[in-house]
Amino acid sequence: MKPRFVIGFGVILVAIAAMMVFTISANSNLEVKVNDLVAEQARGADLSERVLKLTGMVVGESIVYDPATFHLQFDLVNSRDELANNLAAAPRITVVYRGVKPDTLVNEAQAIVTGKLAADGKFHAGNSPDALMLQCPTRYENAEAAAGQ
Amino acid sequence: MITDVGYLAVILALAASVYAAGASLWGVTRNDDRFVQSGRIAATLTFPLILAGALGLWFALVNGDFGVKYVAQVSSLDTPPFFRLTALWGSQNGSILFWNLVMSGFIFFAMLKPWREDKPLLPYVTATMMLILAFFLFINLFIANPFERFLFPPSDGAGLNPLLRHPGMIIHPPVLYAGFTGFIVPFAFCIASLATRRADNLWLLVSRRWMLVGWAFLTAGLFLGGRWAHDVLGWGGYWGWDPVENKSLVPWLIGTAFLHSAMIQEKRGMFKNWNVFLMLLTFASVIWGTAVVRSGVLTSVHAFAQSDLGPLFLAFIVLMLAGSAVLWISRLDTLKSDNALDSGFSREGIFLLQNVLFVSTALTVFIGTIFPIITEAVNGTKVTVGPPFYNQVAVPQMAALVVLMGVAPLMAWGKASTRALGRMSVVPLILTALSLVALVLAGVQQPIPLALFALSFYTLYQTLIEYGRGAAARVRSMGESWPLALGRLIARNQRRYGGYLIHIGVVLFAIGATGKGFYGVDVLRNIALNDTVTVGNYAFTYRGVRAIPCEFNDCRTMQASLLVTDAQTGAIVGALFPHRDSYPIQQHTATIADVTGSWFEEVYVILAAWEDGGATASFQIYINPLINLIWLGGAVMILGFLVAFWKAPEPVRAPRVSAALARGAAPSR
Repeated sequence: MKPRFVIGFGVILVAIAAMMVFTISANSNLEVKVNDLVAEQARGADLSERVLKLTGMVVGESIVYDPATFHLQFDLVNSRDELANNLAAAPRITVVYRGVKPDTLVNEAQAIVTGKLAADGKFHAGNSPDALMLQCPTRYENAEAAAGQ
Repeated sequence: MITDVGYLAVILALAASVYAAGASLWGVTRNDDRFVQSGRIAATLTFPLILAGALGLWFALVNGDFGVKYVAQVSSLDTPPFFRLTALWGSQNGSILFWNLVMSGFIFFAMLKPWREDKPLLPYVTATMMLILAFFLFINLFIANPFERFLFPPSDGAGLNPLLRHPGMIIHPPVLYAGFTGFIVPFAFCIASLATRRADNLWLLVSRRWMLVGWAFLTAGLFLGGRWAHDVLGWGGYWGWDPVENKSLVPWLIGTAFLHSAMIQEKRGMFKNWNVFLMLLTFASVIWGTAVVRSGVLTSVHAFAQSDLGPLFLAFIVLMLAGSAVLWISRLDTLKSDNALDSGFSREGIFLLQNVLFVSTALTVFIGTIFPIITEAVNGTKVTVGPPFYNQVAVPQMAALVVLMGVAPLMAWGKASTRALGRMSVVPLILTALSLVALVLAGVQQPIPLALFALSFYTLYQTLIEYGRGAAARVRSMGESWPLALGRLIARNQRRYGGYLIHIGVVLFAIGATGKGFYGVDVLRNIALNDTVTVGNYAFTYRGVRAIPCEFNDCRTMQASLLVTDAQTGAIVGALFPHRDSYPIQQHTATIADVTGSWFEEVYVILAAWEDGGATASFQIYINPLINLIWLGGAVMILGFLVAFWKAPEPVRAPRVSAALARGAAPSR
């Protein structure tokens, strides 16, 4: 291939790569767990500008929801184990979300929340449709295990 | 019992595939055709054997044999018969069996096809396909076994995931699997061509049609998946850059690049190495995509549960890539181009540019998808990139591809002339300008959507004019009537005009995606009984909720009713009855949207919640302009495929292949 083509395509690819690097640095979300975030908070780290993807287990009794204003608030702890055996002492983060309370938001659901840790110490979920994702990854396996007993 | 026979059949299928690979390679090294034929027969048998396995599992599903773990996992006494059939691909283990079934189906047809000039490729084609099939059968039997039984059978099962009880979900997985596994045939031909040190276009000519079939299934699978997400997931969209979606898009992009650059090799004997590279990359991305959903390495709402398949798939991909790369590099010298690229300003030049863009778009999506894995490997923390990354990096590249789609057909081979290009662009450019004026007058004023609409319209007009130009020539020279001329034009050159039809489908999709993306409305409203709220041009009056019978035995349904009127005139637009189905056993709620509006603007409403027995209710209201163009675009693309694929009788094709072969092979000797 002639050098000018190589140069031409090189320029295109470099431009795309540059666009990628630039966009990634502006749009990437760090995945964190509740305990890590609490530890960072305790160290006094300022994370208010960083978009985070927080994973944790929903504490059922902490769920507060006002349907008229769509204000939803709940706490997350690190793991199912802590939820079951060590709830009082377990580090927790309060999540604030504006939107309809999903039916899947129940005790022990695994939540993946995308948002920022605001100055008020609470984790504010963003506005995107997938800012609050809930899954019960063991649901079917549990049912299977139950069925097998 | 019957199920165990099925199990045995799958074990035999694994044995047959290992034997077929061995016999083929033995036969070709010993130059003994009997072994090659024996391998071919064994390979052909894998499909009936796996089918017997699937029938065995179906038998267990239909009869509610909950002693089989998989049956208890995906069905229950309440599961309707129809969904017991689709439960075959309702979860990991069964869906891998189904995957094997579809893949062996392609192998079956490839083995049974008439082998003529491509006969020397046969042993390698068999061996390649059988080694891949053996890998998936191994997983099916030793890691994700759907035939596994309980020691003490339960009396009832868990039931099918409610999300999968949708017509789109019934057809979407089989179609997508066909898209993925269909690429195994061209891949095997590519490997066989490398192994036999062939410099000609044979593998390309034979596998082009297989490639097209895989591509069409993948295209249909992508659109059906989007439609399913739109109808069932209740978020008003059709695409969310989720890893599970991306893993289908990446092979589609690379496969599309291949389909285009293959034309250049066929016509001009160029890009031979590049085509091999694209083929290897396409199939590697298929395996990567399978690993993404099945290993649970990426966080995704739709992904299958965590499993220990990750390392195994990684090992397989590495082995496959390393093997084919070594093979390819050792054959680089045989794959010299017959012609040099003289000018970038030519059909070949544009194709090359377009190919680079397809691959870079695929790379962008790939990097975005695996970014969490990369960052975790590098510094221990997962970093994900969201939709903005894809919208800002991948979408502009796709937009550039739309423009190239309009320009490429105008470019001459070898070296295009600026004057001819300018002359042919005048009319489409004028039409585009007029369309833009109309859009601006209609209220579209943001620069980015205007630019996207402009380039879509340009390509649309340019492509339509291509049909017009061709038909006009026939009308003039043959004296045919316009409809006849158009029909004969397409019939005489199906690949070309079928391809243009696919381009039109893509443009319709692009227009729809721009409309939905930039002018879609998405709001959440809490409405009191008999109150009205206004969103956009529509007024929504809430008329209450009530319980209605659910479609299935294991759920309850609450339905809301809303009256939608034109906010200005008060004219009735429609009545909406969105509902929520709750499944207590599965602890799942399905939000089923209802839609009204016009063909050009969809009003899509979800019942999000209700309070105090329905005194107030919350609705997620979406207004999706032009979203129907997205579905129409998909349908047109498939129609275009059918035009390009539909084949004149066999005798006409055989000499053409030989002629093309001679053309492709001659200059390199």
